[in-house]
Amino acid sequence: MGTFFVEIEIGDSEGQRWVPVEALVDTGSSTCLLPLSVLADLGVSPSRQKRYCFAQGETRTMGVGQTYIRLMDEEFITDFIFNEEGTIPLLGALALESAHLAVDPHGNRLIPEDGILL
Amino acid sequence: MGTFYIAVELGDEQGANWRTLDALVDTGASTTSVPASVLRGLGVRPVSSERFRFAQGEVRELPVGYTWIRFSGKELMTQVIFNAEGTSPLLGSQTLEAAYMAVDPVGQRLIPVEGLLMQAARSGGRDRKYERFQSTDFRRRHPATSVSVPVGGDRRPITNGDFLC
Repeated sequence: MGTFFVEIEIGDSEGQRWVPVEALVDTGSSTCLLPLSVLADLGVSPSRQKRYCFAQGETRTMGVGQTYIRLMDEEFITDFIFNEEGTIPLLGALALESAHLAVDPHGNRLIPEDGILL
Repeated sequence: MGTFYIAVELGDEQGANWRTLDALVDTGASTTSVPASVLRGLGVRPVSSERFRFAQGEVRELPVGYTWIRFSGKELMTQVIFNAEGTSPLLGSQTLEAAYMAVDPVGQRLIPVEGLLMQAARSGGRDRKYERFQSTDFRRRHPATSVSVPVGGDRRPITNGDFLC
């Protein structure tokens, strides 16, 4: 049905401790979203507040923090939105872009892409 | 920065009249979503209502219909959600899949992909992954990713087709 999940790992701010999470691959979300308890358990706290527009048209101010993500063997720091409990983890476009990954809804897979230096 | 829009043409059910829209390319939305007034203006009719889960966990029942869409040189009939006014048009995963297009957030473009004719491997892989996500064992190990939340007293499992994130 087009949408699909991938397993990612979220690390603490030192990259020492990791937890696996299954995230919906979502090019419509600029930033990754996680239920706040996942981030809080890793000791990550929101460092700033940003406004986000959601698919139902609502705009909300959400807490945002930074920590490590492991995605297809790449490890890097990215932004995470602290979302409500019970919500689905989302792997957003900025993280996909950082890892140079395209999204294939037909094969339900991520495809490595070259970066651009024009 | 990662997310991007492309121009799509949305047709009526006969493919006779068309309207151009900018749609957010959204693999987190199972279904292409358009403000209801645009669809009604083209004469598209809702044929059923389906439940969709939003990024904040809310589940809403929304009307869906079928009509023509054109983008990236493809023309196909697709399912469309009649979404609220003022919402951004979303080009969703089912439509991208049906058009054999992948999404490149680096180059901010759609790229053609090959279809698959390996029924056992394909459905096996997808179902196994989804069953794992839905399994009690997986939810116990990863409680944060549980999607079995009560909605109006109904604990119907959320399927892969329900997302509008």
